[in-house]
Amino acid sequence: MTSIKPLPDLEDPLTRPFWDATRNGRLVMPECLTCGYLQWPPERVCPECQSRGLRWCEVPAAGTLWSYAVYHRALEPAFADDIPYVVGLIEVDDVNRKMYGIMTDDESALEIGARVRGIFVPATDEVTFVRWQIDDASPAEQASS
Amino acid sequence: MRPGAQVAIAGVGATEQGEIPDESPEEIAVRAAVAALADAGIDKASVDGLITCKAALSTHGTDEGMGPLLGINPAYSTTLDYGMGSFSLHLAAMAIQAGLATTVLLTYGTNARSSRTSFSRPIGGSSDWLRLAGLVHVAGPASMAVRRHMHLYGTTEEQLGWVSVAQREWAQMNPLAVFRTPMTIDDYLAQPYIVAPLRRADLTVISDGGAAVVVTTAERARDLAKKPVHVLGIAQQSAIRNEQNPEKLMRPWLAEIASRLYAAAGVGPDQIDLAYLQDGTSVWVLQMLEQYGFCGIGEGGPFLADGNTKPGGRLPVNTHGGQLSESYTHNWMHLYEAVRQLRGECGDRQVPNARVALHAQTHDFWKGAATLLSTETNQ
Repeated sequence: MTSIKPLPDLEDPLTRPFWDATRNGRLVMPECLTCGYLQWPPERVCPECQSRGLRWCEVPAAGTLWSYAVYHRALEPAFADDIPYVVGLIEVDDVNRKMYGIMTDDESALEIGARVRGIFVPATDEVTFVRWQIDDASPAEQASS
Repeated sequence: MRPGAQVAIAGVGATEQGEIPDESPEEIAVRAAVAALADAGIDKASVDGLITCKAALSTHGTDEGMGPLLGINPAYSTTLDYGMGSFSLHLAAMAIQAGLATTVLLTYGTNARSSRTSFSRPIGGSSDWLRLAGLVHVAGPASMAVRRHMHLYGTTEEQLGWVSVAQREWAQMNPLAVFRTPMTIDDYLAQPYIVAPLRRADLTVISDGGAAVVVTTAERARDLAKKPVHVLGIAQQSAIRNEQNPEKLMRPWLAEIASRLYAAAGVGPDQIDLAYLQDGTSVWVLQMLEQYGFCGIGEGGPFLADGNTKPGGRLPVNTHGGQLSESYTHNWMHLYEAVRQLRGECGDRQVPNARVALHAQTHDFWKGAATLLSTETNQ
């Protein structure tokens, strides 16, 4: 049995569009309607021009593994059954933004700079998480980043 | 301008560190304050400034809470959420230079161990996204930072281990330290991972304890009981855009603090005899050795493995054992130790002829601050 994972607050209007998109298999980030700054993580005011108003844009569910943490201790009890579990920090393609997410691969398969792709894993009827896995079909950037 | 040049530390005090089960953070802080005033040789009646620091992750330790226990009505008082020694010290220097106060008492007390404070929470803002990804506790992002360092520069787990092993060597000579049992590099490598590649010894002790500092003008300090320890320079960098900062986990903005600090004090890394680098994790020490210019970027691993930071090394680091071996006091005991080393009071672990100390810290992935301290002035 898997423990119940923390779930996002779907009542939060700021982030609701993100979860609506993942349920439909799309990864999105908000862009400022005034200056076009791409926000990650989302904020209620644009950090560049202090305007309000966002448009959610699809970004590639693909990227490069910047680094990762391998949890051998259930510091968050909800993840106790998953130990050891891996959290990756992904540089998302094309947008120069980084995103944290659970990696589905074993630690032995991981390498910084590896190509990864997002997969959409339903947790409840309403919430679909983005998990990340090594994309063997796509060559790693050599000593890139 | 040398912002800190006319301010000095006149006294320091500390309680025992470890478990203090029957005292509140305020009671612990009061005991440290009494010790610091006695060290300076002044009566509480001459304290006209009080800057308290809240116990980590609690509402304890405000100036309103401390006033009735200390029995003082200073002209100026305030509380910092996360004073961490550095921020409290800098604010005291500003208060003195602005004329708000002449003699400022800084206090800190925590019962984080006895109160079973939980640290399994997301660190560094944007907490919902971190929580959903299971990225809790400072060990998570710290492990990402050091794995990246290993990838970029070839740093090894053994090299990182020398942070904790060296500090344990120091702690064995410090009666206040919680962890004093010998630890070799093989012992370190045999420890299981908590969040790989970090082990237990890479993460802070959680303990109870208090520390206090008396800050005053250099002029007044000259007439007090102990040799004054002068503030040669101070610098900070907030980095509060947090996740929006590129390479946030590597904390490259620490180098901005270093350059401002060295310019303010007219002192460079070659002239620093002792370094007190706040060590919530060992990774912070690795990063600060590089960003403060003691070695090149990427050279921290070999610098540590060469034994530079341990007893007898070229740059003694955290000579009390730091947060990895001595206690969980968010850089306060680093300040206590720096002052006592500069005054030549550290017994078996005294570093001979130590003249200039760096005291530096960050609040996780933002809010860095650093101070240069010396028994000599730079004027």
